[in-house]
Amino acid sequence: MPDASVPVVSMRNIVKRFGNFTAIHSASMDIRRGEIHALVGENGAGKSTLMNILYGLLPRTDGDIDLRGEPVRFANPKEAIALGIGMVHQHFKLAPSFTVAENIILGSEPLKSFGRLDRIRAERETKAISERFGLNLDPRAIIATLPVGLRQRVEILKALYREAEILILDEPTAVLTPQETRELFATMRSLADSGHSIIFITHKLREVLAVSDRISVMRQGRILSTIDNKNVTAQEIASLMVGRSVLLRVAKNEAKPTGELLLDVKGLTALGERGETAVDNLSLSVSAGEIVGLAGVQGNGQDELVECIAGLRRPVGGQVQICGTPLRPNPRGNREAGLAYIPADRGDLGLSLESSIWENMTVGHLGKFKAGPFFAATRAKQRAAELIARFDVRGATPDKAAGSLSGGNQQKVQIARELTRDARLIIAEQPSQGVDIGAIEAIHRTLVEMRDAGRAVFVVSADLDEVLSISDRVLVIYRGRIVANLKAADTDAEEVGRYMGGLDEEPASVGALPKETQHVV
Amino acid sequence: MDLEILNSAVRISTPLVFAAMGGLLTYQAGMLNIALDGFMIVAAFTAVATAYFTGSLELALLAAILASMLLAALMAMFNIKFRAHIFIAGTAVTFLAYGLTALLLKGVLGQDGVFTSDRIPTFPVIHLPVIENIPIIGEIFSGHTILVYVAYVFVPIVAWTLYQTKWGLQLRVVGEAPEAAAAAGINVDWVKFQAMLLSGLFCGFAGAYLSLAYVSLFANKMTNERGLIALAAIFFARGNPYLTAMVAILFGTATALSVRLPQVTGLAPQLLQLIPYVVTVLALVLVGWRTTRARSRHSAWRFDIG
Repeated sequence: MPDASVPVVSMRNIVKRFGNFTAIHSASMDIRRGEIHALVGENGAGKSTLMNILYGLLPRTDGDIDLRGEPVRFANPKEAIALGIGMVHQHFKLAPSFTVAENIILGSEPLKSFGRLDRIRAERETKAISERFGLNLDPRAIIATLPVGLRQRVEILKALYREAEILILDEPTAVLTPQETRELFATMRSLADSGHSIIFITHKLREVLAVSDRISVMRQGRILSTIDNKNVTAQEIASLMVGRSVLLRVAKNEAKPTGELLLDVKGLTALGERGETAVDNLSLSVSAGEIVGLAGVQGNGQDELVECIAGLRRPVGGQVQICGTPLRPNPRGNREAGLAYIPADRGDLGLSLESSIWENMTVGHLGKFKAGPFFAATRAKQRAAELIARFDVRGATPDKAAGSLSGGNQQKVQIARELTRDARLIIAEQPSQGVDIGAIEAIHRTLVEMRDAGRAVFVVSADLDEVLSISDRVLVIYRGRIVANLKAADTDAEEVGRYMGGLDEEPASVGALPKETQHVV
Repeated sequence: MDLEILNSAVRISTPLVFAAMGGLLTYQAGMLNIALDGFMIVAAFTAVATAYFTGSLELALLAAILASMLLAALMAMFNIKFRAHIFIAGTAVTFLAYGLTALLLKGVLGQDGVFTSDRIPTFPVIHLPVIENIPIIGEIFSGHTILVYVAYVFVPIVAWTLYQTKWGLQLRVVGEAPEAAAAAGINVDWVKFQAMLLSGLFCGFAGAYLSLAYVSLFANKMTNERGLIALAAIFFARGNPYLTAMVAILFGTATALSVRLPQVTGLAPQLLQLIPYVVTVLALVLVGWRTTRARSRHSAWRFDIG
């Protein structure tokens, strides 16, 4: 390893205020040459804010940043890029209808005379750099046609093309399969060995322990400590992040499924946005009194499946029954049949972020607040106040806008609204996405309570740890089909991960699954 | 039927092509520029007023372009700097332009509604050597003013700039994925500002053409929603420059027909004047049908209204 004692980046006492709100109180952190430095913390701890300051996306209120011993202050990312800092954002910043080469050269285009693009050189250089770092890519491929793992490679190559020596990766594994994650870690390791410094933002502690050299823990705008990745456990880091000890596994009793099928999907087929077969002759069922988790890499038909069940998408074949009522392609009908739906897309499908919390909690319950021809707003607000207390929505008053809450508390608002409806089937999509550990615990506890009260819970999550810890039964979806039906207690991440990657054939022991059909792309 | 119609279609399409090229740049940069009419009317007025007072066509054209770009800068400031919604900014700028030109028409030229004068010079007609003598082609394409040829030459220039240059790539990425552009160190606001200014430049040509070449007068609201028709052409062609120009010419030809057909057929001119608008509506219906078919056949409910 190269000389690891000299920091390439040194951040000292960084302060960031947004108006009266202090996002970062005082954060100090050193990055050494050739190290993988994990930055962990709950959502809202200030990890991304701190990195956005380093990358020049946000100006800092106070503090110093030294880059290779020289003080720097970036007005925009361009200046940071010029000095060798690259960032791969959680939501990829790629132009989907453009080619890999065009995306990679964007902002530092090779030119011919008269400001003309040198496409041939762009493609040649893209090819060369992807081979140099062992990240194979076709320079002429259109981004929109690439799977997520390859898009991430484009993002990493984009930074390397600009000769980044310090690479910030913001939650890079959120969208990857376990196999793709392993490949990413191998890439990170080889980059570090060639002298790049990598800052790895994450909240998945297993991954932190697997790949990083040093770990900085952030809580409430402060870096609490930076520790070497030696003899530390996930439990210790989690306690540092939250400030108290947390349960990483959900405490729950054995499930007692009654066998009454509240969700029954038979031979469902649905097409995706581009007309491809997204859900392929899929059957599954969820009984009252159990939590069924659906694991799978994003883009394997989960979204289309859930949209079909929620009545947001019209299937082309098959049957769906909710609490015994056949599906209608009509969200309202399905909700009346007994569906409570907690969508992943909180800001768009789940809540109106600009409306107040009480309004968000009241939609779907309007019938309860009829006062002749009028609407009993006062009573609705009272109920909202009660729900805020009952579901422990932090920082909320009924009149505040839903968008003013943190992600976890927005999630609680959604959950409060949906679970107080008289609905026996609960579908929770990515229930802990963007939610901090403390709130995840509360959300999982609520879902277990619902199960014990005799409701059926169907959890769709890209987070394998979450699926395994909360579910009684785990289904794995791959290319629109259920490829495994496992008891959560009898399986592990490794096994489920293999199914998620489509590496295993259906085991013979699985019953009640559709027979093998030809997959149509 | 005679070639007269095609010859006038070329003339009538010219301001549409100018305006469409202007709107196309903002469309590609991710802005729906509904102020094309506003830019054009200001340019048309400035052109007539400058030509009347100075007698110089060159000065008139220059002044028209500057005035139009000034208004474009104002629009860009509302939308990009002060973050006003582009629809509000566009409406405000258009109304401002209509009102201001009507006011100045009265205040500076002392006329209500329409102004014309013998002192206004007009763009001379150019006879293209060689081409002039080719039958049919010559009749259609020769004998127009310089601005007509400028308009059609702009089409390949715009296409080349958009697809072959660094600036064009950055502009298109700014339009499709502004965050990707910003992350790559591109100054998104500045690129949008440039696109809006160039939109003003093209509308400057369009306005000057309308009042000094197409006719030789200024009338209130004389652009006749040509800006909106140009936008329809852009949407129909999804921002492809050549196709946009072709659709603009189609709309222009429809107008030419509506002018010529009453003389030929004796039908009520009021009825036939509907032709260009009907063609525009049909084109937009086709666009709508195409997008809904492509999008909603199997896809999820869409809640986005923005």
